[in-house]
Amino acid sequence: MAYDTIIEQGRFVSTGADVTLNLRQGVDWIRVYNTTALAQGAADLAYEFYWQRGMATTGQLGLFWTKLGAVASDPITVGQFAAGAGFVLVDSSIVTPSIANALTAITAANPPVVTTAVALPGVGSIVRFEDLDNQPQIAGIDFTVTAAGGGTFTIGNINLTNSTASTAGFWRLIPFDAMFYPRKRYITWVENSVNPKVYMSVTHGFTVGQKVRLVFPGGPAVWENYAALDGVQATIIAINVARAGNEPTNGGVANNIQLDIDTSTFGVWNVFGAANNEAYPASTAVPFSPAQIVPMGEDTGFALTAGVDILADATRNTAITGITLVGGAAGPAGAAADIIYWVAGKSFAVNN
Amino acid sequence: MLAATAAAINAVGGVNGDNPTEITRTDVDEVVRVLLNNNAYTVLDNIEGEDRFGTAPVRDAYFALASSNLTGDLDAVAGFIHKNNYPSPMNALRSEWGSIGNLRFLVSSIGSITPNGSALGNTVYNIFCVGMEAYACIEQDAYSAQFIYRPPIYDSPLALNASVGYKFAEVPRILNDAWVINLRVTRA
Repeated sequence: MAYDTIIEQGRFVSTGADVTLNLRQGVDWIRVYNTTALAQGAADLAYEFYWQRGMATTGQLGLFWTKLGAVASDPITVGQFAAGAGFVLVDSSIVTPSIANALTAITAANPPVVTTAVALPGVGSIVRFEDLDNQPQIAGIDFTVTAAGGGTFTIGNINLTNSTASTAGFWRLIPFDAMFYPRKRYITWVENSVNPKVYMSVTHGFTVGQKVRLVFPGGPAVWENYAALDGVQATIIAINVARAGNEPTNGGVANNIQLDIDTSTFGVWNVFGAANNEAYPASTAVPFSPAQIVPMGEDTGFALTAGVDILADATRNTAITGITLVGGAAGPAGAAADIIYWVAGKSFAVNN
Repeated sequence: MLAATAAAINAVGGVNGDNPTEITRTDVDEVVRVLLNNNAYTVLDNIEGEDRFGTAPVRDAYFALASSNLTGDLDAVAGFIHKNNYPSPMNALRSEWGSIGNLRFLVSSIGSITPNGSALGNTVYNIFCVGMEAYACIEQDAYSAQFIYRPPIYDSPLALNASVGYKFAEVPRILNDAWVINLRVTRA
């Protein structure tokens, strides 16, 4: 092996989705083989893919070779990916937000729907709002996108009923979640109950048995009766419990954790705003500090009882460097059930 | 690690119209109050007053780890004591900027920020206010961090190239989450 050259290789079975390879030393070139596409003789399918550093100045283009299985003697053609269609370099430690994209509406509803004229964020991605004309109380807070299509996307982990709908503002795409797990999350709803469900704005990632601390800065002036939860420690006894009533509606798995505390005497959550029954502090509360769930450890006894990992609370740096292979029949990550082989490396020198 | 996991308090006492606002004395007092109520020990001892012009005694203090971009805003906070106004400036740390109440501010050009993190889309500066033993770096098998330089004679067959790199095996960990507060601020 030449000096300073590192080569990695691997194999995976495609699900049809994008695949991100974790290549700690970085990558200067990669070659990918779809052996399923290569072996068949019935359709025109790309079977080999290549990218090397310097192939494009905008986006990460790459080359692909297609076996024309539907043509006699199976001739081969070569093509070049459009930007973002083949390979995309990844460094998830860089969480610089995207440019500010204009929005023309955020509904005062459950779930809130955002209207924007630009390319929509994908479901599961994280967005942050700013300069909202009527709902500044959610500006600066990250939200998971829970639906997208038709010029709108939804932030289903908060209920904004009875707030005043925004008609102007901006949103930014947050490219990656925060590096270190488990992560602090912002609270958007607390159930009024014994063992309440607590909803958060971004998909939480917590597991049963973890201990968390509730943080409600600002006292009753901001958080009404729920200010009593400030500093309270709790153990997570269940996650993603089915929603009910006015709780945030994300259209899928409810983004909540259930805690071993009692809020049954606190009254209902959605009493914010001047007799307006909003489900989050009103715009008049700005500036204020969002309520938070802060990870603080593991309830080992409970974890053992529940049969879960007692080290689930371990602090982990989840950031990676690598490359994303775009999925689909035309992409290097292949269609579902395709068998993919790859080899990637670092070069001794790159002269572009 | 602290930015991802530590509890945060937004500065709300300022007048710049953002959320969080610029840092003010009330925000500092709020953080100190939280740390005191959580029984966090201060990290530094007080600096006793002396009969010298332009100096003032300095309280025992928690560390506040901040971006060097905040130095001007810190100067403007009520009760700010620059380190050259300490009775014995030699007790100040090299990176220290000054003190407010029971916080002594250490600044760095790589202090934590959250780009476009405020309600108006401005940069949020994370000021980590920490008590004694609030967090630690756990070195795995005493490996810690290594910065490795090999000169050309050892690193390439024809002594043409040197190499430099680093490796580390350590884990940062909050030991008591109640003893570290992230005071989030914007600039004035």
